[in-house]
Amino acid sequence: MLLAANLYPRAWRERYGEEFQALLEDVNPGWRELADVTGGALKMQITHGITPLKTMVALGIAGMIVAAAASFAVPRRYVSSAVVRVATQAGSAQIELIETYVLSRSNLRGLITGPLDLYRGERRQMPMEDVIDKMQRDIQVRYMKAASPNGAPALGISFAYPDKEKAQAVVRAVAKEIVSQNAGENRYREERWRAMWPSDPLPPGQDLEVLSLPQKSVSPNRFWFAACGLALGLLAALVVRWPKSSMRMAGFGVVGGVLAFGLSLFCPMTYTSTTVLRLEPPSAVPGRLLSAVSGGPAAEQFQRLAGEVFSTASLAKILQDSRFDLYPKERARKPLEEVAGIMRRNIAFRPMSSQTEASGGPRAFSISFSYSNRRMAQAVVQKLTSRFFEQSVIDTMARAEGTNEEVRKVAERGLGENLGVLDPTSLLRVAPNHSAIAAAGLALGLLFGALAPRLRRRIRAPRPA
Amino acid sequence: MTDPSLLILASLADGDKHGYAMMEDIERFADVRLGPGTLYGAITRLEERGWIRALDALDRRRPYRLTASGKLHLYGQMAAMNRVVKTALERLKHA
Repeated sequence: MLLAANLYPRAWRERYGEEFQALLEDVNPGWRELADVTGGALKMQITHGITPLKTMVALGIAGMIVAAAASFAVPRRYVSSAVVRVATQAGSAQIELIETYVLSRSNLRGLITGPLDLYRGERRQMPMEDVIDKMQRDIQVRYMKAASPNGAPALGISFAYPDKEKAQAVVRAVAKEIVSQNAGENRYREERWRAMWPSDPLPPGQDLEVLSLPQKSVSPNRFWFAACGLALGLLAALVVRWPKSSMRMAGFGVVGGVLAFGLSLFCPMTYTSTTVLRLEPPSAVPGRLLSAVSGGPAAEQFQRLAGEVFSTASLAKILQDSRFDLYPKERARKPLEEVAGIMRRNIAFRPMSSQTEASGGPRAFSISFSYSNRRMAQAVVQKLTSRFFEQSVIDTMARAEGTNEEVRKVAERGLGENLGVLDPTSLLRVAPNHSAIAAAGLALGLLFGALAPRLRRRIRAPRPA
Repeated sequence: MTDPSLLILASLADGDKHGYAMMEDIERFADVRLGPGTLYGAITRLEERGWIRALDALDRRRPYRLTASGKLHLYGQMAAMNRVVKTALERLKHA
């Protein structure tokens, strides 16, 4: 009890210490009194003992220690890894496609809802698309140039998950799928080759070899925990030292957040639909014809196709299609070319970032369209996708015109570079982001709460005559 | 009513008292046992606001006295509380 009484600030003890000791002797203190005196001492230290700066430092450090200790209670995660090595020199393009396949939303959706039953808790709390986003962050696919002894590329696959067995099972399933896809592709390529070029020897396909690595456990990021603890400690210090100001700011902040959230509900909804297309390399074409059937680097081909598909004339056709009935108000007031410009601004055409690392640039691009009607957003993306396919066939046939018979044969049978759909048109993103708007409202409210007394003083100050 | 400051002011309204006497008195009339930390936290605040003042210590125990502004504050608080009590009782009659 004496120790607890000594926790009071020195100045306070000098003034009240003796009479306080006399009181403690009179009350015959127990545990209840000990807790009461300790709490009173801490309160007195904060309000009378130490400077605001010292309060902030003390509570900041206390917050860091508590948060770092709490991080030990957070469940560990396990990272399972595998390396898929390519045994032959050929096939960096095939590796890129495999990488894209592993990260595709449709593949991840299959893994999540399959027998492994991943992210069960998260699926109960958030939409499936957000769970897929989370898995995309947890699964890493690294393209490794010249990773094999023969200089061929490889893919490093790793997956972090709280369940050790499931982390390993996911990596095993992905690696198995990659190898089986590759084997199927090799068989299909062989069949087409024998049918098309019976006299030409079949070039070797790529062999994939899976090398599994042991899983390791990953501790939670204690630095991040400590930083959060520090921030919370500083916040607590502000509340303790300046309770009125803190309460005022919190009040304005909450009102600002709620108002902003409420207003965001009145904003018109925008739905964004996306699909991902990829350009598959020719797999059953003899080497002597490769340069003749190729349309150039994939990115250039995509840009060429996009130039046609997103041209004013092409978009005007979609706008005039009565099945879509897009932008009725704009079409009533503005010329069609201008409405096509508005539509183009709502179309996004982007390379998939995971593809840029490998040689030859991106081979997959996403096409998105944002519109106020969910079904129309999806229908337009489907229409744009089919326009890409039509244009691709027109391009291929135009390139084959005036060349030799073998190149025309390749073009007619679709054995050259072909467009493929990596992710079907199913992804819907909704705007406005209510949480972001509410957070902005909260921040503005806090700022207003901090400035309110100054504004009030300025308004009330007598004006010079 | 459990506000320690108000309980102390009410206790000092019938005469000067030191800490332990206040605790005993408050427990008797309000059935609230204030801990030593809570009691002296409130005494510190009340003295800073000038609502009570310390007298000379007698055998290490220092009595406190209600000041004029403390009386005024207590009157104000009691009047407000009285209005609430009267209204509630009146309404309970018709409930």
